[in-house]
Amino acid sequence: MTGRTVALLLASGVTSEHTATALKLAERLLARGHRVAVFAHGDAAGLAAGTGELPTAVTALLRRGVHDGTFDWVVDQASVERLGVAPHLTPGAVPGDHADLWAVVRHADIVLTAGGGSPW
Amino acid sequence: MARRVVSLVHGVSGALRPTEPALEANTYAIAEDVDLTVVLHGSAVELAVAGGQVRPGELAGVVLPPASSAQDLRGLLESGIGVIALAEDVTSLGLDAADLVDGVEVADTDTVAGLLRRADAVLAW
Repeated sequence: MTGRTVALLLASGVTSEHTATALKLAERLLARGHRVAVFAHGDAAGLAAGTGELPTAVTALLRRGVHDGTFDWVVDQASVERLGVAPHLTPGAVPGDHADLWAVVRHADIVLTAGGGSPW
Repeated sequence: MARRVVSLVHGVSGALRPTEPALEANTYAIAEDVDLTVVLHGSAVELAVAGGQVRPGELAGVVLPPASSAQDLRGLLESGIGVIALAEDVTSLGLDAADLVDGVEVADTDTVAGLLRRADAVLAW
C-alpha cells in the first residue's frame, strides 16, 4: 500500500479499546507515508478536547501532519456542543458536520469504522 | 476513491429526538457522488415500520418532539438511497415486508453479504 488515504470514523470515547487501536493505527499509517483523515462524532467528539493524554496525543498527531497535510481531524460540531467541549478543542481539530463525514468517505481509498454502533 | 458504500445500522439511538441520528447522518450522502445502501439490522429494523412514529408529548412542562422514522426513510428512498432490512430480523420482530415502508427491500444474509463484498466502503452505526 503506497500513499493511500485512509478514513477513520470514530464514534466511541476514551474508554473504548476500538478507539485506542484506531488511533495507534493512524500513527502507524502516518509513519508509513499514508494520509489519514479522521471524522469524530458522538462521544468521540471529545477525544480532541481538554488536557488529558489522549487530546495531547491527538495534538501531536496533528503536529506531525502539519507540513505535508497528511493528517486531518474533523469533529462533528453538533456532538461537540452536546458534550460541552467546544471551548476545549485542540487547535487543528476542525469543526464540521455529517456532510464532511461523507466527503471524507468519498475521497478515501480505505474507510475504517472503529467499533461501530450508534454514536448517539 | 470510495464509491459504493454500505451503511450498517444496527440499533436505534433510544433518545427522544425528532429524527433518528443515524438516518439523518446518512442523508448527507446525497451531496457526495456515492452509491449508498443503508442496511437495517437488529432493532434498527423497527425504523422501517410503515406508520411508525413517536407522537408529540410533554414531560415536566417540556415539549417533547414528535418523530417519524418512516418519514425519514421515505426521504432517503426518494433521494435514491437504497434501504434494506435484514430478513431474519424482520421475522424475529414479528414483521413482514408488508409492514415496512414502501421501497424498503427485505433481503437475506447472503444477499447482504454479497453487497458488503462488492462495497468500496462499509460504515457501521
